[in-house]
Amino acid sequence: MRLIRAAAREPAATADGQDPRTASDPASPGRLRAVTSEEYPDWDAVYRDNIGLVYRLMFAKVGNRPDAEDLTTEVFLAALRPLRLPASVGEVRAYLLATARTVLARYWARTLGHPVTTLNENAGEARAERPLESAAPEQAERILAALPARYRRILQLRFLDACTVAEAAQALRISVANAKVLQHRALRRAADIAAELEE
Amino acid sequence: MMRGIARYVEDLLHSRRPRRFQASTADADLAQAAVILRAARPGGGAPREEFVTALHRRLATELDPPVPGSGMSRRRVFLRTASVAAGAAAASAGIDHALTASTPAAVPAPAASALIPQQGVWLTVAASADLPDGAIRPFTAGAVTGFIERTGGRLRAVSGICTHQGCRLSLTAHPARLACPCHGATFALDGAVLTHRFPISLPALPRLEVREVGGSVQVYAPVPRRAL
Repeated sequence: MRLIRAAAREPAATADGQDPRTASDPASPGRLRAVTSEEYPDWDAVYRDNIGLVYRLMFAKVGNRPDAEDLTTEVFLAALRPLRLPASVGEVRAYLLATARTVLARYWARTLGHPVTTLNENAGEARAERPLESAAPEQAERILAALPARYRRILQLRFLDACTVAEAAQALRISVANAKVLQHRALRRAADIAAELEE
Repeated sequence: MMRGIARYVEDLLHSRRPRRFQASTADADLAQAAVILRAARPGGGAPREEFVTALHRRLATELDPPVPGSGMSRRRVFLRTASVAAGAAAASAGIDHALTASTPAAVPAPAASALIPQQGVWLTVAASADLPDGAIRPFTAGAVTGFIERTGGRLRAVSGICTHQGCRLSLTAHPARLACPCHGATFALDGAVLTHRFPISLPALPRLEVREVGGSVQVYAPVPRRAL
């Protein structure tokens, strides 16, 4: 039941345009994916089916590519060697998730000394009911929606539209110095809202 | 202080690896908001093809067994692993965790092993009277936490740390077992793995040496190094 559900959720990943399969296996589109059966026969299948998921999860938790790539690497290096295969998709995903959780916790401990983001799904629940999907865009939308218009605008320009401070200042018809101050205040407000939303 | 978080946010906005700093709680909250917003960029969650291919290649060299008779020893595999990690670290900053991640791979998972420290001392963990036959007690001795049991007149001590990811085990009654709160692995009091849900082989809990001297039960345990 659980495995069937996990497989059935796959099309959802396709629908949002972030299908990990196309990204992970661009060279051989004809290759069958292991997830349609309920077991992974070898590490190669585990990798191809989960690299996109693990990367997406890590990116959502650290917000930058270099770190997301390093952490994804760390997860697969640590997780794949002791794997005994064949193993079910559900078991392997739960194991990857548990490994990812530890890897992420260690990352924050050594970079900022605080658990800034966590993989907080209980692994037991998460393995079947919640595939490794990122909630980041949804969370960001809720935060942005709760902000005053100018705060929302500056954060959109800088974080989502990749504008420089100068470009953002121009768009808002303010000085660069004011744009910096506005951005900082907006982010602080966003942090408060994020905390409220969590409660 | 604000330099740290301001620079952190700028690094994120420039898609650079953010530099480490000692963050306050307020900084951590800002960092979290910044990460959430930044991660929401369209297309940000898809890995680069080059990355996916390069990691696949790296895993292939590390995971696929060497050709028999090629003379490739475990040690050489490990050295190669280490040099790959070192190469990656030269370009980025990941050497500590890259090496940590690949080291266990070079060491086969041990079966039930004895924990015999290089520099240990006998430490009292219970009075003999407090450990009658059939009793089980948790203990902390030096740098080790574990559980000690007297059963059929024999003493037995095992480490109380899960061999999966290092969570502290708790004792359950009926039946008496050591259970991991993190992922639900369970161990017998002799250290044997009873259950776990992962498709890996989990090592048994290391055992400690135990003795009984003058009314005290003692284990041979490492003394923690004094913090600098």
